[in-house]
Amino acid sequence: MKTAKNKLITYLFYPYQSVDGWKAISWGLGIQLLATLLAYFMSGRFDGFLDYHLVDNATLYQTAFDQLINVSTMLLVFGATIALISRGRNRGSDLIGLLLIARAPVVVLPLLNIGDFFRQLTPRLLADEMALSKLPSPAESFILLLFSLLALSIFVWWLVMLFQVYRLLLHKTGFGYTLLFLGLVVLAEYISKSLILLLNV
Amino acid sequence: MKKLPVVCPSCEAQLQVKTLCCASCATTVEGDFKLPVLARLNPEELNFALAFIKSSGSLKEMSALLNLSYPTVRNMLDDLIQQLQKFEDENGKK
Repeated sequence: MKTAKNKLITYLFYPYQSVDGWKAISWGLGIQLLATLLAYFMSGRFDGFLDYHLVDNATLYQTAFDQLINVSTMLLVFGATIALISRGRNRGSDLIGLLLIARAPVVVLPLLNIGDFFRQLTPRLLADEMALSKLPSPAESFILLLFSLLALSIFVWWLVMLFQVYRLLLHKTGFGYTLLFLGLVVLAEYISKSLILLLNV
Repeated sequence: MKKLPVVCPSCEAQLQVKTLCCASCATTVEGDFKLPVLARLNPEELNFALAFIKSSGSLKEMSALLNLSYPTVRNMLDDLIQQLQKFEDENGKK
Protein backbone atom coordinates (compact mmCIF):
# COMPACT_ATOMS: atom_id res chain seq x y z
CA MET A 1 0.00 0.00 0.00
CA LYS A 2 1.28 3.43 -0.92
CA THR A 3 2.18 5.75 1.94
CA ALA A 4 1.18 9.41 1.90
CA LYS A 5 4.82 10.33 1.20
CA ASN A 6 5.00 7.97 -1.78
CA LYS A 7 1.70 9.33 -3.09
CA LEU A 8 3.01 12.89 -2.84
CA ILE A 9 6.23 11.94 -4.67
CA THR A 10 4.18 10.20 -7.38
CA TYR A 11 1.90 13.22 -7.86
CA LEU A 12 4.83 15.66 -7.91
CA PHE A 13 7.31 13.81 -10.10
CA TYR A 14 5.35 11.08 -11.89
CA PRO A 15 1.77 12.44 -12.22
CA TYR A 16 1.49 10.98 -15.73
CA GLN A 17 1.59 7.48 -14.21
CA SER A 18 -1.72 7.90 -12.45
CA VAL A 19 -3.57 10.79 -14.13
CA ASP A 20 -4.92 10.57 -17.67
CA GLY A 21 -7.64 11.70 -20.10
CA TRP A 22 -10.01 14.50 -19.21
CA LYS A 23 -8.84 14.53 -15.60
CA ALA A 24 -5.32 15.36 -16.85
CA ILE A 25 -6.72 18.05 -19.18
CA SER A 26 -8.69 19.65 -16.33
CA TRP A 27 -5.70 19.60 -13.95
CA GLY A 28 -3.34 20.77 -16.69
CA LEU A 29 -5.51 23.70 -17.73
CA GLY A 30 -6.16 24.65 -14.11
CA ILE A 31 -2.44 24.69 -13.34
CA GLN A 32 -1.64 26.77 -16.45
CA LEU A 33 -4.36 29.24 -15.48
CA LEU A 34 -2.90 29.48 -11.99
CA ALA A 35 0.60 29.97 -13.47
CA THR A 36 -0.74 32.79 -15.64
CA LEU A 37 -2.38 34.58 -12.71
CA LEU A 38 0.67 34.11 -10.49
CA ALA A 39 2.96 35.44 -13.24
CA TYR A 40 0.72 38.51 -13.64
CA PHE A 41 0.60 39.26 -9.90
CA MET A 42 4.36 38.60 -9.47
CA SER A 43 5.28 40.86 -12.45
CA GLY A 44 6.46 38.09 -14.75
CA ARG A 45 5.89 36.85 -18.29
CA PHE A 46 6.31 33.40 -19.79
CA ASP A 47 7.63 35.05 -22.96
CA GLY A 48 8.70 31.84 -24.70
CA PHE A 49 8.33 28.09 -24.36
CA LEU A 50 11.46 27.98 -22.18
CA ASP A 51 11.34 31.53 -20.84
CA TYR A 52 10.20 33.33 -17.75
CA HIS A 53 11.22 36.95 -17.27
CA LEU A 54 10.38 39.64 -14.76
CA VAL A 55 8.95 42.79 -16.36
CA ASP A 56 7.75 46.18 -15.22
CA ASN A 57 4.35 46.63 -16.78
CA ALA A 58 2.82 43.42 -18.08
CA THR A 59 -0.93 43.39 -18.57
CA LEU A 60 -3.07 40.35 -17.78
CA TYR A 61 -3.84 40.11 -21.50
CA GLN A 62 -0.12 39.86 -22.37
CA THR A 63 0.57 37.27 -19.66
CA ALA A 64 -2.42 35.16 -20.70
CA PHE A 65 -1.64 35.46 -24.41
CA ASP A 66 1.98 34.38 -23.77
CA GLN A 67 0.72 31.27 -22.03
CA LEU A 68 -1.79 30.58 -24.80
CA ILE A 69 1.01 30.72 -27.39
CA ASN A 70 3.36 28.56 -25.28
CA VAL A 71 0.75 25.89 -24.57
CA SER A 72 -0.54 25.86 -28.17
CA THR A 73 3.01 25.59 -29.54
CA MET A 74 3.81 22.72 -27.16
CA LEU A 75 0.64 20.86 -28.11
CA LEU A 76 1.23 21.46 -31.80
CA VAL A 77 4.93 20.57 -31.92
CA PHE A 78 5.00 17.67 -29.44
CA GLY A 79 1.41 16.47 -29.89
CA ALA A 80 1.64 16.32 -33.69
CA THR A 81 5.05 14.60 -33.65
CA ILE A 82 3.95 11.99 -31.09
CA ALA A 83 0.66 11.38 -32.93
CA LEU A 84 2.52 11.01 -36.23
CA ILE A 85 5.10 8.55 -34.90
CA SER A 86 2.78 6.52 -32.68
CA ARG A 87 0.07 6.44 -35.39
CA GLY A 88 -3.15 6.56 -33.37
CA ARG A 89 -1.73 4.59 -30.43
CA ASN A 90 -2.75 7.28 -27.91
CA ARG A 91 -6.11 8.78 -27.08
CA GLY A 92 -6.31 12.49 -27.93
CA SER A 93 -7.29 13.36 -24.35
CA ASP A 94 -4.18 11.59 -22.98
CA LEU A 95 -1.94 13.33 -25.47
CA ILE A 96 -3.24 16.81 -24.61
CA GLY A 97 -3.74 16.14 -20.89
CA LEU A 98 -0.33 14.65 -20.19
CA LEU A 99 1.52 17.35 -22.14
CA LEU A 100 -0.34 19.98 -20.10
CA ILE A 101 0.51 18.15 -16.88
CA ALA A 102 4.18 18.00 -17.95
CA ARG A 103 4.27 21.82 -17.96
CA ALA A 104 2.96 21.99 -14.38
CA PRO A 105 6.32 22.76 -12.68
CA VAL A 106 6.43 26.24 -14.27
CA VAL A 107 3.69 27.27 -11.83
CA VAL A 108 6.39 27.58 -9.15
CA LEU A 109 8.54 30.08 -11.11
CA PRO A 110 6.46 33.22 -10.38
CA LEU A 111 6.60 32.42 -6.67
CA LEU A 112 10.36 32.95 -6.67
CA ASN A 113 9.76 36.72 -6.96
CA ILE A 114 8.00 36.95 -3.62
CA GLY A 115 8.40 40.45 -2.19
CA ASP A 116 9.39 41.74 -5.65
CA PHE A 117 13.03 41.17 -4.63
CA PHE A 118 14.36 40.12 -8.04
CA ARG A 119 12.51 42.69 -10.11
CA GLN A 120 14.00 45.45 -7.96
CA LEU A 121 17.49 43.92 -7.91
CA THR A 122 17.76 43.24 -11.66
CA PRO A 123 18.00 46.88 -12.91
CA ARG A 124 20.75 47.54 -10.37
CA LEU A 125 22.74 44.52 -11.57
CA LEU A 126 22.25 45.45 -15.21
CA ALA A 127 23.09 49.13 -14.78
CA ASP A 128 25.79 50.52 -17.04
CA GLU A 129 27.79 51.99 -14.22
CA MET A 130 28.65 49.34 -11.70
CA ALA A 131 29.36 51.51 -8.70
CA LEU A 132 30.38 49.74 -5.50
CA SER A 133 27.19 50.88 -3.83
CA LYS A 134 25.14 49.15 -6.53
CA LEU A 135 26.73 45.75 -5.98
CA PRO A 136 24.52 43.27 -4.16
CA SER A 137 25.25 42.74 -0.49
CA PRO A 138 26.42 39.30 0.71
CA ALA A 139 22.88 38.55 1.87
CA GLU A 140 21.45 39.62 -1.50
CA SER A 141 24.11 37.57 -3.32
CA PHE A 142 23.21 34.51 -1.27
CA ILE A 143 19.48 34.90 -2.00
CA LEU A 144 20.28 35.51 -5.68
CA LEU A 145 22.39 32.35 -5.90
CA LEU A 146 19.86 30.25 -3.98
CA PHE A 147 16.88 31.36 -6.04
CA SER A 148 18.82 31.08 -9.32
CA LEU A 149 19.58 27.46 -8.46
CA LEU A 150 15.91 26.95 -7.55
CA ALA A 151 14.77 28.45 -10.87
CA LEU A 152 17.24 26.26 -12.76
CA SER A 153 16.01 23.18 -10.86
CA ILE A 154 12.42 24.00 -11.78
CA PHE A 155 13.34 24.24 -15.48
CA VAL A 156 15.18 20.91 -15.26
CA TRP A 157 12.22 19.34 -13.40
CA TRP A 158 9.87 20.59 -16.13
CA LEU A 159 12.03 19.37 -19.03
CA VAL A 160 12.58 15.97 -17.37
CA MET A 161 8.82 15.62 -16.87
CA LEU A 162 8.18 16.62 -20.50
CA PHE A 163 10.74 14.02 -21.65
CA GLN A 164 9.11 11.33 -19.50
CA VAL A 165 5.67 12.14 -20.92
CA TYR A 166 7.14 12.12 -24.45
CA ARG A 167 8.67 8.66 -23.83
CA LEU A 168 5.48 7.34 -22.22
CA LEU A 169 3.33 8.43 -25.14
CA LEU A 170 5.80 7.26 -27.79
CA HIS A 171 6.84 4.09 -25.96
CA LYS A 172 10.05 3.99 -27.93
CA THR A 173 13.64 4.15 -26.76
CA GLY A 174 16.89 5.00 -28.46
CA PHE A 175 19.28 7.89 -28.91
CA GLY A 176 17.45 9.06 -32.04
CA TYR A 177 14.27 9.73 -30.07
CA THR A 178 16.24 11.65 -27.43
CA LEU A 179 17.77 13.81 -30.17
CA LEU A 180 14.33 14.32 -31.66
CA PHE A 181 13.06 15.47 -28.26
CA LEU A 182 15.84 18.05 -28.00
CA GLY A 183 15.06 19.21 -31.54
CA LEU A 184 11.38 19.60 -30.66
CA VAL A 185 12.25 21.67 -27.57
CA VAL A 186 14.35 24.03 -29.71
CA LEU A 187 11.63 24.19 -32.38
CA ALA A 188 8.91 24.94 -29.79
CA GLU A 189 11.08 27.68 -28.27
CA TYR A 190 11.74 29.20 -31.70
CA ILE A 191 8.08 29.16 -32.77
CA SER A 192 6.70 30.43 -29.45
CA LYS A 193 9.30 33.19 -29.12
CA SER A 194 8.70 34.31 -32.72
CA LEU A 195 4.92 34.34 -32.26
CA ILE A 196 5.16 36.28 -28.99
CA LEU A 197 7.47 38.84 -30.58
CA LEU A 198 5.19 39.15 -33.60
CA LEU A 199 1.78 39.11 -31.94
CA ASN A 200 2.19 39.92 -28.27
CA VAL A 201 5.00 42.41 -27.72
CA MET B 1 2.57 -21.46 -3.63
CA LYS B 2 5.95 -22.42 -5.01
CA LYS B 3 7.28 -20.39 -7.90
CA LEU B 4 7.61 -22.39 -11.12
CA PRO B 5 11.24 -22.21 -12.27
CA VAL B 6 11.40 -21.50 -15.99
CA VAL B 7 15.11 -20.79 -16.44
CA CYS B 8 17.99 -23.17 -15.70
CA PRO B 9 19.84 -21.99 -12.56
CA SER B 10 23.07 -23.34 -14.02
CA CYS B 11 23.24 -22.16 -17.64
CA GLU B 12 20.12 -19.89 -17.78
CA ALA B 13 18.63 -21.77 -20.72
CA GLN B 14 14.88 -22.29 -20.88
CA LEU B 15 13.70 -25.28 -18.81
CA GLN B 16 11.35 -27.89 -20.28
CA VAL B 17 8.88 -30.26 -18.65
CA LYS B 18 10.27 -33.80 -18.37
CA THR B 19 7.76 -35.47 -16.07
CA LEU B 20 4.07 -34.94 -15.34
CA CYS B 21 2.44 -36.62 -12.40
CA CYS B 22 -1.20 -37.31 -11.50
CA ALA B 23 -1.85 -36.04 -7.99
CA SER B 24 -4.72 -38.53 -7.60
CA CYS B 25 -3.21 -41.92 -8.63
CA ALA B 26 0.49 -41.05 -8.87
CA THR B 27 0.73 -42.05 -12.55
CA THR B 28 3.68 -40.33 -14.17
CA VAL B 29 4.13 -39.38 -17.79
CA GLU B 30 7.60 -38.71 -19.12
CA GLY B 31 8.62 -36.91 -22.26
CA ASP B 32 9.96 -33.60 -23.55
CA PHE B 33 7.31 -30.92 -23.25
CA LYS B 34 7.90 -27.26 -23.93
CA LEU B 35 6.52 -24.81 -21.39
CA PRO B 36 3.57 -22.87 -22.79
CA VAL B 37 4.39 -19.19 -23.35
CA LEU B 38 2.09 -18.01 -20.55
CA ALA B 39 3.90 -20.26 -18.06
CA ARG B 40 7.16 -18.52 -18.93
CA LEU B 41 5.95 -15.11 -17.81
CA ASN B 42 7.13 -13.79 -14.45
CA PRO B 43 4.48 -13.48 -11.69
CA GLU B 44 3.84 -9.76 -12.34
CA GLU B 45 3.40 -10.28 -16.06
CA LEU B 46 1.15 -13.28 -15.48
CA ASN B 47 -1.01 -11.37 -12.98
CA PHE B 48 -1.30 -8.53 -15.47
CA ALA B 49 -2.33 -10.95 -18.25
CA LEU B 50 -4.94 -12.59 -15.98
CA ALA B 51 -6.35 -9.23 -14.86
CA PHE B 52 -6.52 -8.14 -18.50
CA ILE B 53 -8.52 -11.23 -19.47
CA LYS B 54 -10.81 -10.86 -16.43
CA SER B 55 -11.55 -7.26 -17.37
CA SER B 56 -12.59 -8.41 -20.87
CA GLY B 57 -9.58 -6.76 -22.40
CA SER B 58 -10.61 -3.29 -21.28
CA LEU B 59 -7.58 -1.08 -20.77
CA LYS B 60 -9.80 1.54 -19.19
CA GLU B 61 -10.95 -0.97 -16.57
CA MET B 62 -7.38 -2.16 -16.05
CA SER B 63 -6.30 1.43 -15.57
CA ALA B 64 -8.88 1.91 -12.81
CA LEU B 65 -8.05 -1.48 -11.25
CA LEU B 66 -4.29 -0.84 -11.10
CA ASN B 67 -4.68 2.87 -10.33
CA LEU B 68 -2.38 3.69 -13.23
CA SER B 69 -2.89 6.00 -16.18
CA TYR B 70 -4.20 4.61 -19.46
CA PRO B 71 -0.91 5.18 -21.39
CA THR B 72 1.07 3.46 -18.61
CA VAL B 73 -1.21 0.41 -18.79
CA ARG B 74 -1.07 0.50 -22.57
CA ASN B 75 2.75 0.42 -22.43
CA MET B 76 2.66 -2.50 -19.96
CA LEU B 77 0.42 -4.39 -22.36
CA ASP B 78 2.71 -3.63 -25.30
CA ASP B 79 5.72 -4.88 -23.32
CA LEU B 80 3.80 -8.06 -22.48
CA ILE B 81 2.83 -8.60 -26.13
CA GLN B 82 6.48 -8.14 -27.12
CA GLN B 83 7.57 -10.64 -24.47
CA LEU B 84 4.98 -13.22 -25.61
CA GLN B 85 6.05 -12.71 -29.22
CA LYS B 86 9.66 -13.31 -28.23
CA PHE B 87 8.72 -16.55 -26.40
CA GLU B 88 6.64 -17.73 -29.36
CA ASP B 89 9.53 -17.05 -31.73
CA GLU B 90 11.90 -18.98 -29.46
CA ASN B 91 9.46 -21.90 -29.24
CA GLY B 92 9.02 -21.85 -33.01
CA LYS B 93 12.78 -22.03 -33.63
CA LYS B 94 13.25 -25.09 -31.42
